[in-house]
Amino acid sequence: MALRLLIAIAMVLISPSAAHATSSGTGANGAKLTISQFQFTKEMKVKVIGKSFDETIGIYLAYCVVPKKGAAPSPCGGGVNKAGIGEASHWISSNPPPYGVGLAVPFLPGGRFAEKVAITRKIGKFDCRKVKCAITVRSDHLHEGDRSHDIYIPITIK
Amino acid sequence: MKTRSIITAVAIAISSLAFTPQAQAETFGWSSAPLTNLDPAGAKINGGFTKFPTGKGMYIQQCVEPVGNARPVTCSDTIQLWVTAAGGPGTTSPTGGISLTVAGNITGKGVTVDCTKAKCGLFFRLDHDSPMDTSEDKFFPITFKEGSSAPAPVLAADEITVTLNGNTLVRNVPSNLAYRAEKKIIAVAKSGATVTLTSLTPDCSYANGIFTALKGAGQCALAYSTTASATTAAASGNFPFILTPGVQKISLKSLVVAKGKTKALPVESNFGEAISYKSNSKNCRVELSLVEVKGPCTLTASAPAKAGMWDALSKRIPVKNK
Repeated sequence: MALRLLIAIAMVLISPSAAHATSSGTGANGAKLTISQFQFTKEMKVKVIGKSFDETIGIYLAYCVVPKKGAAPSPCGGGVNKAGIGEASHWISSNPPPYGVGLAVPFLPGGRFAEKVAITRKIGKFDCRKVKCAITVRSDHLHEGDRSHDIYIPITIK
Repeated sequence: MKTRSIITAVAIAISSLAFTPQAQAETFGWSSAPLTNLDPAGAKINGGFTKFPTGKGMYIQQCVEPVGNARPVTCSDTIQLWVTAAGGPGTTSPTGGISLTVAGNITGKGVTVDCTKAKCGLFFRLDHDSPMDTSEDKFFPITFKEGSSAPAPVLAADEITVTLNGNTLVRNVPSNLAYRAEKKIIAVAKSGATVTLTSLTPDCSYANGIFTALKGAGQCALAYSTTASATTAAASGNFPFILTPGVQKISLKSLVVAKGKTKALPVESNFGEAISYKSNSKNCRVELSLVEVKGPCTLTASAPAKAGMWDALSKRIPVKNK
């Protein structure tokens, strides 16, 4: 009885409000991307959790304008982050070329990662209150043109 | 002039001959060209197999001609091919064309031989899976032009030792490597040269001395290389690995909980799989990842396998009262 009460209390405490509901996207190969909230009233950082990604394919995790279908997500906050710095985008790869060792963040076992991505009202000249913006994953520059790893989680800014 | 033309024609005809075993009808056949008057600075020999031994692999090496029916003593450390239908990193398929670049100077096991003067050739043998089986041993002589290029300086061969978690790796002999079982690699050249290591496939990574499998099935290879110095020849080679499923673990071996208290259990395995729990008695009651303990019990933690990546988890966790 005590255990059930404890679980019930925990469930109420951790259940999200509408504004802070989790949102997720799934890739073609079973990769899953989750964020703790998708509606924002101010610029802030959001924690992005990745799971079951193919560890042999490097990815970029970024906040981008949603492109036309079939195109790469662009432009993105911070651009393509080959330098591996900042929180606008992240290069995640377990087998980067020599110049990427120490720059790219390796996947955790099981194809997992957890990174913070900065949400902003504007990406370059694009206003995310007027155009669609999203947390995105795409394969890195070593797999240019491969759209099979793209994942989008739309973001709403009020 | 006429005599020279006839000699040239005969030479071309001989070099293009199909070499089919005479005494052993069931052994492989090999045809290639050219095999004579080769450029000692480097010449590509193009060939192909017929009747490649089923289910076997073979090595092709440039060697000094052996004595009688013995195997060659001196073979190049670098001019060699591993031919197998099994595929994998560093291997060549027995079907279709096969190319091998031979050289006027070869270095093997510390000995350098000038093949413009010594009798050299291509030596074929079954691979490491059949080390004592000589039934497919064949030696096809090759000859080089003499004095057509400056002879290469005679350099001592280097000796490269590569260990994986302290165990010495053997070149071309596959080792097992489990998914995410990080292995420490140490590579040492006898000459003191810097040894460069790289993963030949994206299914494994090499960084900061650690070789890691990113899949639980398939093959990988770790390549090594050194650059030549004024006294020592360059060295290169690779170590193949067969990938095996990873071992899923839980970060909990046992549990001690005060009677009547509740304890949180690990939610995920080391590979991120959700863990479910079952108790072997009513002393412990499990809901989600919480356990309420009234007395001693044993929990069984389970997590599913993922095909081609890791095995299922099934771990017994003893629970005691304080």
